Amino acid sequence: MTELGFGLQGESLRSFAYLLATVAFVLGIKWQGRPETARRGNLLSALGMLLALLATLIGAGLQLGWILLGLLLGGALGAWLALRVEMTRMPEMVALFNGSGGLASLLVASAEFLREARPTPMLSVLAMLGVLIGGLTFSGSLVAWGKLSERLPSRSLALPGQQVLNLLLLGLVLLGLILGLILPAGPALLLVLGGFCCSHCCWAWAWYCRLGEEICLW
Amino acid sequence: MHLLLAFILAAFLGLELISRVPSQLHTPLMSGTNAISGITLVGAVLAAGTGTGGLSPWLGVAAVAAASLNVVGGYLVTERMLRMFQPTQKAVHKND
Repeated sequence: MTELGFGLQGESLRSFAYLLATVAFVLGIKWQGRPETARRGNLLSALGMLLALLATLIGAGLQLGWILLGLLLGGALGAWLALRVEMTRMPEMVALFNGSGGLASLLVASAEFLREARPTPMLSVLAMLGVLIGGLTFSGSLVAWGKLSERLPSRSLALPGQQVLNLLLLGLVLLGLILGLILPAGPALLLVLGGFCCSHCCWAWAWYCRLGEEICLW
Repeated sequence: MHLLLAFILAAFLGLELISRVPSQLHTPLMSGTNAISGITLVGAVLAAGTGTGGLSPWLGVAAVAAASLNVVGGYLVTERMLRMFQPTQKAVHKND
């Protein structure tokens, strides 16, 4: 984080804020396990998130304009959706929010990967895992959303030759991972990453169409 | 290595925290923990704000929007669900 221009003191203050946020999350989940304290738990957890966000924003060296725009757009849309959805439509809304979290992970991993001219193998593997898991969360949640809102049939959806297709897509994902590790930096990496995203999103789609019903049951 | 350590500890912690939770709280707990997973927001802000030119900051801004949708929506939806579990209300809502 030194490249962001944080002094040692600012850095440790920020770490301390993250530590407090972690405690808030853990206690928040704990409280959410009992009906008497559940609402307080959710509030505490939300305050922890606010603290972590502020600690990150206040750090010097960040260009805030676009960040604030993103926060505003995402937050407003989230609030609007959350407050107007009917109670019976809650589960599919949760699926949609979960999916947007997955999308965020995918985008962060891609951004970190593309930033480096020569990513280390460690960064490559972590970025690929981030893209894979985030993408699976995203496409899987979309299918769950489709099924819960009855936009997709809730029965198990399978294509003919599904298992062969799954294997093929898994192969593409592994190929993307290997290529991402050995290819030099530059546009080639972008292509690999793009192909990687597409292939594993198809894979996730195919996979979750089969597992859709289990996913719906959470 | 400390990342791996944190990951393993978090896995055990999660298991401990959510065991023995009454079933009517499962859905709000699911939604609440999903909101916490929006902590990706911190990574997104850093990715968006570290200006090196190129595509990365833009991907970061998109990630900020997606993550804040997850965070704000997740906490509000959880709050709305939990309002149905006020301890003063004796009626048990069987919504799941």
